[in-house]
Amino acid sequence: MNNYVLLLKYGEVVMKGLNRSYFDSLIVRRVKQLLKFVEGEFTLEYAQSTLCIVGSEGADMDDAADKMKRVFGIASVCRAWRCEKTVDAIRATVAEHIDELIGDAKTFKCEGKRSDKSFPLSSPALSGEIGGTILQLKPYLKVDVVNPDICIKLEVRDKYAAVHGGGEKGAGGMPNGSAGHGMLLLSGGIDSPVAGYLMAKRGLALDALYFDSPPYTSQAAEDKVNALAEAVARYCGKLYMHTISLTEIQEVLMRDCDERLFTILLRRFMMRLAEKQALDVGAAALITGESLGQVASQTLHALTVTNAIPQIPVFRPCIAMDKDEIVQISRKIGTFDISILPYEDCCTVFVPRHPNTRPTMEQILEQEAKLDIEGLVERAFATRRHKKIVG
Amino acid sequence: MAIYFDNAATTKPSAAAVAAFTEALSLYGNPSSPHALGAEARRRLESARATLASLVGCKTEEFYFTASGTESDNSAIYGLWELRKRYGKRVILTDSEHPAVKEPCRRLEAQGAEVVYLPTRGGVIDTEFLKEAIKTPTALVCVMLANNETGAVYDIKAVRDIINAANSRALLHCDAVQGFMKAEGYKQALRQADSAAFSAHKLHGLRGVGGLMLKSNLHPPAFVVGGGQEKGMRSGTENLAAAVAFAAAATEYGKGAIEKVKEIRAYTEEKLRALDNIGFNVPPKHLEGILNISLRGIKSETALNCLSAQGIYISASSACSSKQAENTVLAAYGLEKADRECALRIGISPLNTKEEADALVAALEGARQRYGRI
Repeated sequence: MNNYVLLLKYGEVVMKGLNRSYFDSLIVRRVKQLLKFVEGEFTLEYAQSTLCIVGSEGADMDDAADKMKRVFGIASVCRAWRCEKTVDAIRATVAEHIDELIGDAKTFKCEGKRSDKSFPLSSPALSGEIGGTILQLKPYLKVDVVNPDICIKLEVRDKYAAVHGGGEKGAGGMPNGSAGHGMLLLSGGIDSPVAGYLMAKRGLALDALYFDSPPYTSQAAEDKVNALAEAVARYCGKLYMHTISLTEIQEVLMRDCDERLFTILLRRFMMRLAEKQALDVGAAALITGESLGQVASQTLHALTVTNAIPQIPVFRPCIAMDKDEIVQISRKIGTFDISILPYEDCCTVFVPRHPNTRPTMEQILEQEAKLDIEGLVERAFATRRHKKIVG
Repeated sequence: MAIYFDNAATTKPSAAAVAAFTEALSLYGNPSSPHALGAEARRRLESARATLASLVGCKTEEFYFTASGTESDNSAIYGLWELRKRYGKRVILTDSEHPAVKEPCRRLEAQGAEVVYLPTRGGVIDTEFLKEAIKTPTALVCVMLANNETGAVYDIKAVRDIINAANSRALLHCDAVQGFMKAEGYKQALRQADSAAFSAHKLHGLRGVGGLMLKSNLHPPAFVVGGGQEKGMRSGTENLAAAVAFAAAATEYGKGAIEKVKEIRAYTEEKLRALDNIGFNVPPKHLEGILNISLRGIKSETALNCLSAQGIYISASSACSSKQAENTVLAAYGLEKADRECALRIGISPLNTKEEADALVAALEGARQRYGRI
């Protein structure tokens, strides 16, 4: 029997009440989606807030474990050996896998955890028993209960016992799609993919919207944003990437409006188009990578003016983050190296030299009165293109 | 039909190169094998080497095949540094070298090298600066034969004279990837160098094969070690077909390509000079095949995208956005920021025609009319 398994410990979803099964089913669906891309056959067994993944002979459990760390709703992923619920079987399992469990640790402790209270030994007694076995096998080891190099976990569960060297941190958050559907405004920068990841982590299914501006922006810039969408999709599963061209709007704004308000006026058009696109695909929120005060269009005054457009909520998970905090997350999720590729995106094409950081609604409305807003939005919306991205 | 004016980036493989490559594919024996098939492959490889050595102007045994110009630069720089690092810690290179030279030199800093950048303002080497810099014991001087952005041809003979006059033992490496077969008097220039790097795909050969010239009195440690091919200088089973195609392409290029390029260059330049508000970033001594201009009023990337949509391919050699790394070559040349932002590189090959040049110039002006405004 293949007794090497992955134990996926559920996170926040265990707090859910009567609708718990809905959340569980979303986790299982995502796990199954990801396991399709791993070599081997897998069966899933669920019990006691833990999903146990059993692989067929020769299944790539390392790859499976790596992928499971991207499943939202999972608090930790443990690579464990399962055995019968007897002290002898637990001892034999520890002995058989002692080298893999201990590695190059010099100190250790055993931590028994007995959820089946009918098991003959208490948790501390089981820890002592197996700890003694380990010391016999590896006499050079020292016990350190405060700060050990490795903590061997002995779990006595309802149906089986499991031995492992502690779990790796899971993706956390809430299962994919459990919180509804959002439209991510994805640029080529560092912040917006992070914003998408963070909202996906809280359970939003995503669509992404990219604004290009040919010929001011290149195909390479769009390819870069596609790559970013793929990186985000590694966490949130498949998403649809929509592209809308802003060329005409940018040219008209540049020609007819106050240059200092260019970026804000453009952001308002982006919001109009994003909301229209969101409603078109059934998304109920917008997501942006804005961070308070980071650039001229992200001051409180500017956000007030752009926020006045959409009726649906706008989530800005990076709003209170410093750039280095955002960068840290982007490195973790693998978007940083893509984000720093040097291609124009539509935000950098017509950058005013001295943007107004304190725009008022009166100023904005005065400028917009000169424009055929409806026509511009309709024509831009007609340039939509869609692409399915699978993560 | 594509109109390709990006020939400094890479070139279309010539018919001669493709024919030589295809024919050599049937010689699948390993040149190191002693049997007849291997011996035939070896003979062909050596014949390609002799052809290229004669075009470079070096001895046959001084020419080594590598996998790229970048690899040749790396091998030469790391190798020559090893030979002279006890003599001096200074490494002098021009401020407009290709990254294939800049990056290995920068890496030598970890071994205690002191990297000094030699100014090339206006596409001309600052010889006074070099005369001063070389007074400190120097291991290596790297000066490219011709610059890949501006086409500037640097005076290698003058560099050699300064090294000699200072009685310096510094070795001289020359990145000849752009200049080989193209720069006027390139053979005499290369004769001054201790090592030089070449690449086939800039001459209508194929990618994946390059050349390294190394003076026969120098025996630096090899960069790629293994089976001891290329007299131990570059291990790895030889890419015979690509090497043969390199020789064929270079031979073909020697048959009047320069005159053809010169003609198209003159025609293109004349047409461009008729436009308003255009800057010519042309050094006094330059390659005919590289024409760098500043088309004022339209950002480089916009012009490039616009032309690309019409099937006309050129290169934007400038920094366009704040996120992009500054183009240090054009800054070193002395170009102002405004002119760098609209700089375009037109790379001309003998395959280009006057009709294509007309289409290019019309498309450039059309793009500026429609999308221009910085």
